[in-house]
Amino acid sequence: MIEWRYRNRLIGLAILMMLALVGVSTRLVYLHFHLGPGVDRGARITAMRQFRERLAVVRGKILDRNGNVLALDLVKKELCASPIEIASNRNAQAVAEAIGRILNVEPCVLLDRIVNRPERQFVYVTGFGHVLEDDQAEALRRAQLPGVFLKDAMVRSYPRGASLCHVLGYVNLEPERNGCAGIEQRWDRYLRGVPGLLVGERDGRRHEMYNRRLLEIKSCPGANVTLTIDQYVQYIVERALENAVREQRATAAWAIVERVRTGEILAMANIPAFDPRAFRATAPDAMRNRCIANNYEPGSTFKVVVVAAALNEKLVAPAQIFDCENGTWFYARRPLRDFHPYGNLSVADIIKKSSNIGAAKIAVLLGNARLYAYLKQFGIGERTGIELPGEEAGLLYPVSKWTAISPTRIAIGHEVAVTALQMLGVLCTIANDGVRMKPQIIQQVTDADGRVLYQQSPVAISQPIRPDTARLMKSLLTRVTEEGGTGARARVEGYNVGGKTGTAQKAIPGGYSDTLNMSSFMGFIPAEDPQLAIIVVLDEPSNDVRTGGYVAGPVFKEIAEQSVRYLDIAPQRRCPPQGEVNVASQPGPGVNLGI
Amino acid sequence: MAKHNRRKRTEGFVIALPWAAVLMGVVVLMLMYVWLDARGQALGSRIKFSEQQRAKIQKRYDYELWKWETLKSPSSIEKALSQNRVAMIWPEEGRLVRLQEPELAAENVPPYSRQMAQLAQIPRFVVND
Repeated sequence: MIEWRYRNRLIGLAILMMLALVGVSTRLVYLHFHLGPGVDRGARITAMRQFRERLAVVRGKILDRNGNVLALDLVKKELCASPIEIASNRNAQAVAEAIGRILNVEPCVLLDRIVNRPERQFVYVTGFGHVLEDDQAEALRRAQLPGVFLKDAMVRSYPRGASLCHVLGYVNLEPERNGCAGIEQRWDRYLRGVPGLLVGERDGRRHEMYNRRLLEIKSCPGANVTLTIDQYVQYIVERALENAVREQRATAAWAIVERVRTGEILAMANIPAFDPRAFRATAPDAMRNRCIANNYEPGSTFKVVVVAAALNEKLVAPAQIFDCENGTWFYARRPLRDFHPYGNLSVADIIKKSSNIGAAKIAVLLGNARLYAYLKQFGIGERTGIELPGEEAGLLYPVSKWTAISPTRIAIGHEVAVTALQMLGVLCTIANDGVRMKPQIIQQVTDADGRVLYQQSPVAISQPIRPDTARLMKSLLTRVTEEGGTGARARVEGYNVGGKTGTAQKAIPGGYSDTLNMSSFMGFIPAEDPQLAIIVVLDEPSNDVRTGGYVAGPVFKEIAEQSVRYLDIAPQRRCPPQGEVNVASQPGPGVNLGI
Repeated sequence: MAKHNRRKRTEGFVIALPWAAVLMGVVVLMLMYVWLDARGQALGSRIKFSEQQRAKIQKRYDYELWKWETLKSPSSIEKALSQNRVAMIWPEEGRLVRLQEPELAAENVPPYSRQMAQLAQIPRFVVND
C-alpha cells in the first residue's frame, strides 16, 4: 500500500516520465515523417543515407549458326593496391616481390607503380584493363597481401581466340564497354542490354537497409546474336589461308564462303588476324576486315561480268571466234597484252584461258553504256548491305569519266575496284541462275528468354542476267577448272567446279607494278547445282609464280573439298550439268570485230 | 462535516479501462512495427544473399561455358589430337558410300539388319555392318 504522503511524489514522477516519453515520441515522429522546421535537416540525413547504384548488365552472346559461343562476358579480377596503406606499413618491396612471383613480372616494375604515387588510395598494379588469369587471382587472394586487393571487372571473352576476329570485332574497356568493330559495333544496340538501377538507403555502417529500397529496376541482359557463320568452315578457311600466306610468302590473304541460294556467309577470314582482347596492342591495318573493307582491282575474275553481259545481250555466243592478236593488241594507240599469246579463241576459250584481248574485244562490242549498266546491276560500285561496319563500295567511275581505253581495261578488271564480297556476289548471281541475293551474316537475334527479336530471311536484290545465260556461264566457268584451263589446280576430286582465276598487277604511283600482284580465285561447287561459292584473295605473293590459278586455286581446293565433306554436299556427276549447253554447238551471231 | 469513508477509497494506482485499452493498442502497434521492421530486414537480407548466390552461380556457369567452348573449338580438338598422336584425315571420295533416302526404307534393308535392329530393340536399321 502506498502511503499518502508519497502519492504526490509518485504522480509527479509519472507526469515527468510521461512528458519525457511524449517528448521523445514527438521527436521521433518529427524525424520519421520529416515534419516541422527540421525538414532540411531530415532531407540532408536522407541524402546522406541514400545511394543510387547502377546495376551491371551482361552483354549478349554471339553464337555461330550451330549455337557455339563465339563471344561472351566473363567476370575477371583486376589487381589493385592502396599505395598509402602499403607505404604506412613500409613493406612495398615485399609486396612487389610477392606479386612479381605470382604474376611472373619483374618486381621493380610493380614497385614503380606502387611507390611512385604513395599519396594515392588506389592504383591498378598491372595497368588499367589488365585482368588476371584465374589461377593468378586465386594465388593472390590466398597470399592476403596488405594493401593489395582484387576488383571485379567484366571482360569480353572470345573462346576461339583470334578466330573470326575481324567479323566479331571487339569491345572497349569498362565502364563504357561499347562495341568498337565488327558485329560488336554494328549490333551493339542489341548486344549491350540495359543496365538496372537501385535506389535505397544505407545504415550507419554503410550496409543497405533492405526495407528502404526505394527503386529497383532490374537490368535487362543484352540479346544474343546468332550468325550464319559455321565455326568449322571458318576454321577450315583460316587454316588454309595461314598455310597459303606462309607458303606463298604473301603479305595478307582473305577468303569468303557463301551459300549460293540464300546468300548466307558461312565463313569470312582474314590473315593477319589479331586477338580481340589485345586490341590496344594491335596495328589498325591488322584489324581491317579486308573481305569488305579492301578495294582492289580484281583482274581477270572480272571477265565473267563482261562475258555474262554480252551473252545476255546475245551479242556473242560461246562458240564465236575472236582474234586474240597473238598476244598484243593496240586499241586507241595503247597496247593490251595477254599473259600467253593466242590466235583465234572462242568466247568459251577466252574465259577458259583468260584472254585479256578477247575479253576487251567483247567489252568494246558491248559498248560503254551497256557495260556500265550491267556493272551496276551486278552491284559493282555500291555496298552489298551486309550487316557489318566499314564496308567499302568499291570504285566504278561513271561513263562520262571513262577514257577511250576504259572498257578494254575494265573488261580485264582494271580501272575498277571491288571488294571480295562484291566479286563473290557476281559469281553467286551467275551460280544462282542470275538472281542476285543479298549477302547475310546475321541469322537471328534473340533476347535472354529466347524470344526472337530479329530474323533474317533470304533477300533477292535483282536479276541482272536471264537464267539461261546464267546456266551457260556456269558451263563456261566449269571449263576453267578442266585440263588446259587456268584454274585446273582448283579442281576437287569427285566434283565439278566452276570458277575463274584472277591475277591483277597492283597499282603504284605512276602506273602498275611488275612485281606486286593480287592473286585470286573464285569458284562454286558443285557446278551442276551450286551450293557453295568461295573466293580466295592473296595480296602480294612473293614466289616466282604468282598467278591466281597457281596461288589461290589450291587454297580454294583445300577449302572446298573439306567444306563439301563437312556440309555433306554430295557430288552430282551429270553430264552435261543442268541447263548446260555444248559450247561448240552454239552458233554465234556472226559478229567478229576483227580489230 | 461528513466523515471521510476510508473503506470506499481505491487502494494503489488504477488506470481506467479505456485508457488501458488505448495503451495496450499503442504497445501492440509498436511491437508490430518493430517486428515488421525486423522481418523486413531479415527478408531483405535473404533476398540480398540469394541475389549474391545467383550472381555467383551465373559467374561460375559463364566460366564453365567459356572453358567448354574453348575445349570444343576445332583448333583445341586438333591440338588435343596431335598431342595424343592421333592423325585424322578425310576419307577419299572413292571410299565414301552415300545412301539415298529410298535406300534406307525398311523394305530395302537386308533381312539380317532388320533382325539385328529388332534384337537390339533400336528404332533404326543397321545398314553399315
